[in-house]
Amino acid sequence: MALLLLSPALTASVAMIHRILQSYLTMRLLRTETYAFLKSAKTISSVMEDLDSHRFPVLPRIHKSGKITFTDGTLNPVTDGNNGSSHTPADASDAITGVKLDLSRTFTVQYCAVEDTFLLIKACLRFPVEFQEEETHGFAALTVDQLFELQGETRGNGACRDFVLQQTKSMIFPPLDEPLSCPIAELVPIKREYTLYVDYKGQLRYLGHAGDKNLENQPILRQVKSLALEGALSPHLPLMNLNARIELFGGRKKTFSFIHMLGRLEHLNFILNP
Amino acid sequence: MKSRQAGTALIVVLLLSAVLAMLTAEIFFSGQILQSLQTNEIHSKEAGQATKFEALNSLKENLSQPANTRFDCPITQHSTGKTTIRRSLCLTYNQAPETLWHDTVIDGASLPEAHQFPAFNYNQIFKNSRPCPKTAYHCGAFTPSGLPLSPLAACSRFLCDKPGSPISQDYIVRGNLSIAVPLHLPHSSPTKTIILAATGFIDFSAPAVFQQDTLLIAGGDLHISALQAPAGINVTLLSATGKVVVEKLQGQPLLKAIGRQGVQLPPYTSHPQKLIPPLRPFEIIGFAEAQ
Repeated sequence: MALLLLSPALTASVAMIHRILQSYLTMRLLRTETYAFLKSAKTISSVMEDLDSHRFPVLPRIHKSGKITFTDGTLNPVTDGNNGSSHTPADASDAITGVKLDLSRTFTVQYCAVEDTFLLIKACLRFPVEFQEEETHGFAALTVDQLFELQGETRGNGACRDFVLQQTKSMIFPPLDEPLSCPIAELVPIKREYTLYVDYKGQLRYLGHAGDKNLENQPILRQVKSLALEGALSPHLPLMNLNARIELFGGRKKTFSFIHMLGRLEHLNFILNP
Repeated sequence: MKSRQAGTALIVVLLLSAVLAMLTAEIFFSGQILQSLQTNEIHSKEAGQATKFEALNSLKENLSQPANTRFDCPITQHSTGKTTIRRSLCLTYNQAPETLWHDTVIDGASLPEAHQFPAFNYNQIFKNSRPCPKTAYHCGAFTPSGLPLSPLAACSRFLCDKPGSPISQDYIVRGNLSIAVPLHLPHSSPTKTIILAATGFIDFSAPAVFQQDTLLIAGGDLHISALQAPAGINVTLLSATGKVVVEKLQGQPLLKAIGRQGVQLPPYTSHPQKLIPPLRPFEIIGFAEAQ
């Protein structure tokens, strides 16, 4: 009899418990997904932030369908699924390579010679700033013809230094179309060069590069199933627009658009007005 | 026995209530975290964009006055109350004094400060470049005609040595320009200035005749074995990173020569002349982390 009397109250309680549980699960999912969307969008937006560290027409590179390549078309070792790594890119996901340059610490070349496959360079800081070698992952070499990447050592300290540099494959700078030679006008320190990609376990990862070497591979976020990236220079302005569609495990998708602020310019003004 | 059952029921009810309270609290806090995540993101994005806009807007005021420095990275800061972002926008400025433009010879090697050499807008000049028949070129100590090249002067890995057709209008190329046959620029339009430009060196080892106002612009050295132009014609010679060398001068053109590493001209009577390439008063080179 008591049970009969209490049954409406019990039914209401069970319904309430069910509702609360449902709300709890929805809220938890929403929180996790929102965090995942915001964090991955912020990570991708850093590529466009870094694009404004310089004005050269060296745009972020988009790698389609998990094929992460150097600019000469060869595959980056991370793409090779047979290398035993668990960080192989997901086939269904795109990746993007960006670079941050430090133009305020540009070195103007005073002497340049080629010895075997090495460039021996003496260069001095162009502007009155301090240079920290440990914050540099290679150099962008500027000539009147093109920009390309060099890797190697810096010797000495102070405003003028000696460099022993070598040509290297690059993830973002175009390959040299002629054998390495002098003159080189300027060396611009590379602060970071990296690729953002999703591995086959669904982790968004930061892959740091120095020329043809992968320096680090750090997980940033779980739950990302795939990235679909599209980027192009605006038809009317020298600005790049990047669209990123992020898909999470569970099927939710969101598209984000990013644009940077500084228009692209050729490097001739920079090197012919030293 | 009854009181024991009642006690158990009470504990169950209390536990259930606690779980429900925890779940409700979790929902409440999740909502708050969600809101905070989105607010922080909005604030951070807003501050980031606003700092960049402010940095670019502040230039309008700063650029109206002459720059007293060659390089500057002013810091801009923007706060939305929750987020504060600081950024540096780095710029280079032209440091050439205006009085320099009256000189018919600007010799970078004899300026009191190397940075006083004028800055020109080479991007604008070479925007109109056109293809030339190119061969690979190894930059050594001499040009193909045997002219010594200045150390550190710009030199391209390509040589344009045979223009496809006679040069009769602007000829702007990316590479070195070496012409060993006499060059005769005909008189085509009295108001038009002809531009001959190369990103590397320019070497005219045979006579060059200019019948109308001409700008010759070389990224590296600029060498003319014999320059001929009638009286009253403006001819401006610019070497961005090397020397300007003219061996012979015929006629009485109004000549201006600008060379970063030096200028060598035969004796001539100088007259004021105002034909100069486009200037580059300043240039934004990029955003940097605020130091």
